[in-house]
Amino acid sequence: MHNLRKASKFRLFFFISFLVLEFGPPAGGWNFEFRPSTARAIDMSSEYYKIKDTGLSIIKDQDITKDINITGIMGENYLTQFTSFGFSIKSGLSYLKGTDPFTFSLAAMKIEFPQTKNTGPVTKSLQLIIKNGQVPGYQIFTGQLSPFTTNFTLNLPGQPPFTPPDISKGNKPYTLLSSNLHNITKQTILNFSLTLPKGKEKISYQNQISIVALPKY
Amino acid sequence: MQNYNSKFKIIFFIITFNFSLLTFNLPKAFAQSYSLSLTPSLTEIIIKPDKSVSQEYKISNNADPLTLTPQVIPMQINRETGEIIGPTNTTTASDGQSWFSLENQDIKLNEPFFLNSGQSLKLILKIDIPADVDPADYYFHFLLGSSLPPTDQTTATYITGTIGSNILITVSRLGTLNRTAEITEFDIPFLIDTFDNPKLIIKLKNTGSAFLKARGTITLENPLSSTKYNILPQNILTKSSRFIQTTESLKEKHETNSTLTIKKFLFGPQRITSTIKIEGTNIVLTKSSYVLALPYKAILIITLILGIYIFLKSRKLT
Repeated sequence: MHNLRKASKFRLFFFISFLVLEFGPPAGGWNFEFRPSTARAIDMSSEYYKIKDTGLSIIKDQDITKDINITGIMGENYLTQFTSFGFSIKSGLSYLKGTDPFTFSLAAMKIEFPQTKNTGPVTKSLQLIIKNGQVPGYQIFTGQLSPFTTNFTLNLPGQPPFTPPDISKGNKPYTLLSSNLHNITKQTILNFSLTLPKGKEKISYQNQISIVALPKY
Repeated sequence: MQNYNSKFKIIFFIITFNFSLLTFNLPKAFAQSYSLSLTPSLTEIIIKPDKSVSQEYKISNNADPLTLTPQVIPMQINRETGEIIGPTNTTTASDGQSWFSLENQDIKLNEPFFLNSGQSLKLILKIDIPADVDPADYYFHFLLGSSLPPTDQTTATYITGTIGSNILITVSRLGTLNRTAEITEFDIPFLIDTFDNPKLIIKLKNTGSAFLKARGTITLENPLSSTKYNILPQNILTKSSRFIQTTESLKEKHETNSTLTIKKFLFGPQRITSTIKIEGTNIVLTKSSYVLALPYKAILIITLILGIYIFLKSRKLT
């Protein structure tokens, strides 16, 4: 009786293992990571989107003609007025009402293209999120680092594709987004397109790009 | 029965072995994400030469662990629009970059450090103004850029993400700043439709030698009422122009590229006056314009319909 129960447990385990092996692993297999869960940009739907509140540095009344240190995250408000013969230090924004910090997110830091033969451009996309709190607008720039290629283009939905400039040689970066709005959470998709170079049958290629988010002043 | 159990044990072992092989021994898929928050977004300093200031920044990593490199580079702007021209990768040592250092014990400027997922860190940026520096304005970005993810043999684009904060410094020996400005653009159509939301554009140019803030009001008056809009105190850098904005822009959800979108029902003659005060000075810049608000689109449509009606009626009579 005991052996029979043991045998049925084995049968059950065999059956479950078979199901898991047959239907379970996705292409490329599973990838387990044993570490605390993290908020990932790729998961930033409204349900998961979470930005921590922070404060701004505020200085105490001090004489700016002397050396001073601004320390202590104290809250939301702008600065101190301390005017010693017209000298001052101000940290933050005078009309700041909220405490949301300036936040920039990219869903991935590597865009992988298939290595198979291609007849046309291969397009992949990247989710990009910016949250500017009460900051008066923001700008997002992009440019290519070495190696530079013209077979590579980027575009935002509804905008024409462009080849990111080679910023490693001092060229000005391309302004992807510019806004004057406050308290905005902008979520968009950046499309990456790689075209097969002439005379080549297969793409095998790597490049590097930089994406910079700056608040307006 | 014993034989039956042994078979199951062998199958169990094989399945467990295969399962482990399939799941734990696969090359790790690299899909690192990036999400950083940085505060404060702006630091304004008016300081004497030969003095120093330390500013605390808070950086939070909301996504995967990252290696970040703190950096201070000069800010470049478009003088016509005040828009920032983004940083290039060839920024060399220039005026003011040697003034900056980090007071953190284990983190230095231009050297990478590790920031774990969910971790927040305070970075204390020290700014030492040398004694012999020329009194002038100096503008910088404090940047935190991620390192490139590990490369492999795949066909791929590798991305570095960077977040920044702005630092505006005026170096002055006496604290008396040359702040002057002029209104270079004041634009609103003379004839506006009652049912439209007309846009007012006011552009201010900083003609002085130190960055400044514009404050004040924009007043919309007609014989029956008066409405005031407060100007948002934004910085205008030296020798550059910028559209001023009102506090109404704090509520805007769509890009307007204007100073003010008037969302009021307007009828008849209106007077729009901007009274701009330059912070820290007695300078007040005033400019006015008259507009006529009429429902001219509706009048045109009604006239057209009436015209067609009269025309058709006259043809019918003949």
